[in-house]
Amino acid sequence: MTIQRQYSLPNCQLVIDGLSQDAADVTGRPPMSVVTHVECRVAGHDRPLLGGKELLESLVKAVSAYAQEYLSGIPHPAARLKHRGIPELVQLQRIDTNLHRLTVQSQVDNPTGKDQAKLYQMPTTPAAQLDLTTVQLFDMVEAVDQFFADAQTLPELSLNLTPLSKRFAAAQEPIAKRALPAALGLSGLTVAAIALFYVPNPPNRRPQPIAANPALNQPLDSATPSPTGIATASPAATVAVSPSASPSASPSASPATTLASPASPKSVVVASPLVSPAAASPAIASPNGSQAGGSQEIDAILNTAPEIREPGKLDSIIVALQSKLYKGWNAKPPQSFTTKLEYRVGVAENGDILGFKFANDAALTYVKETPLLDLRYNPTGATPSPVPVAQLLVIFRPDGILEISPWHGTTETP
Amino acid sequence: MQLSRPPSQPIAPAILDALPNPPLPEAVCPRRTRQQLDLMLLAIEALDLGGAEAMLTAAKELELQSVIKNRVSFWRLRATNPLRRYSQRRPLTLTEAKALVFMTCHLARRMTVLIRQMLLVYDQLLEKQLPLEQHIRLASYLERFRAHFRSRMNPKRTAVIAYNSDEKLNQLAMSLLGQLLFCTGAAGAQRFWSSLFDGEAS
Repeated sequence: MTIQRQYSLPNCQLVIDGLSQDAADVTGRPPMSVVTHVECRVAGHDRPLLGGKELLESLVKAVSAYAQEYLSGIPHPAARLKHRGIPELVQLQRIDTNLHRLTVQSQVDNPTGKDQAKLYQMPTTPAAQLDLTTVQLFDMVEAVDQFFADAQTLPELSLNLTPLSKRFAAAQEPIAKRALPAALGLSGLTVAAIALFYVPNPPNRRPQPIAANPALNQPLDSATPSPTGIATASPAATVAVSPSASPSASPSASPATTLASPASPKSVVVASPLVSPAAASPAIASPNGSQAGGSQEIDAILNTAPEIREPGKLDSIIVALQSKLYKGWNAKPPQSFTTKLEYRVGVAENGDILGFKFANDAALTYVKETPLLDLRYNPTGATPSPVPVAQLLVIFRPDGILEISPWHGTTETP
Repeated sequence: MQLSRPPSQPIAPAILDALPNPPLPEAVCPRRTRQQLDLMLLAIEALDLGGAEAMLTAAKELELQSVIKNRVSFWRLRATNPLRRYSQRRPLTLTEAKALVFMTCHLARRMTVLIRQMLLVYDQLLEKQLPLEQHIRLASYLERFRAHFRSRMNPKRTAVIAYNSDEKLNQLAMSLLGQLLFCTGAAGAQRFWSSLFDGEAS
């Protein structure tokens, strides 16, 4: 018994001719189980799509997959390909935002649908090509959906929708686009490497010994020498010189000697250099104390007082100072220091030493062996008048030679 | 009396069972799903002046009140869209997403004629190379969509910055309109639902 089913929409008409195996049921709507002929007409296109069961199966599959592609924006391979990469009989492709191209691969010239076997083996040559608008496409999808919903027509075909898995989404971006950031990064690195290759190495500057000394930048009373800096000096001397610790210095040093003396006579000999600075500690502490009180004045003098920079004046001051210091130094017992003692000395125009600061650690330790403390001019007034001051670097060398140079002249030249 | 389930978890309306749970790694909606659902509802709002009210009415008609209780809870569902200015950091469950899908399809079906007509007009205007402002209904839809989009989406988001011109927003509005048309079909809800998880299924 021949049956015809029609699914009509404004822009698309799907007509399926087929046979019912259940010939007895004439009254109701018999189920169609065999398809003989399929016709799909799209408004605006003269030639309908004609074919058999293969066309119908391929059409519904492609249309269904493409509708999902349209909704999600992620390409569905099922709209174009069969399982093993073979092109589908009916293919749908987007050619514009609102234009969709439907291609039927093989020529179907078979209105009666009798040689379906031949149709199946046909070579794939584009036979029909329809450009559908979105509304036409929707009507075609709707015709297919109505056919799916009709349980009395080919019940074995039903709507089967599954979301695409992740690997299809990953393939959405072309490899060129995905590789772009990595390529940009690599090429940027290369360019930077080449550019930096031609940049000369920065000159290796040795740190200046004076500038590196932290005692310069700090006021005197806080400039307690670090244990590493004074490694050559005895530890008791360190305690004795630091003004805050001076009262406790002698008690702490004397137990050290008493502890050491019973041990062996040799240890007493070893300890004796320890004792002598410790015993001398009050002597050092007293000028030290006055120095600590005057350190701010020295800072004030060195930082604020107008500076003598004229070379002629500086020369005469240096000569005067040199003879003065040599005289004082020769009156002292022979020096015991082995390193240079460096001082920053502020000198008035008449050759008076207004103040001085230690420029290295040894200078602080052996200050008593220099004539600076004796020769220092103690201002009688409460506030020293802002006389012009020459700032000089005075170096006492262990071999008994005195070096005097302008302070700023020495720091500026490496 | 013994409760069969805790009262905090309302029974999902039976209508939602028509949509199968997609095979996802986690039973919450991915980012693209939340974004697309909100944008489709935004397009409906731009089509229909009383769209926001119609949505709440539709929730009642579809008996979805257990999922969409009131205006605020509805807004909270839509604000799971990551592009929103006041995006909510809560997940969108599959049940809630299904409710939004049914609501979208229900409202779109009511406006089938309008949607079809506007898509046809759009094609004709493009074909004749006429400005879209020629058609008042279409122009007002596009204008309203642009205004809604700009007022509600976070302009600092990269995905929002991409729509920085009127043309790009018009294109988005038209593609959403086409997608709304597909929701009006016999299997519209199923197709829309399935498409929401394209490229997300495990």
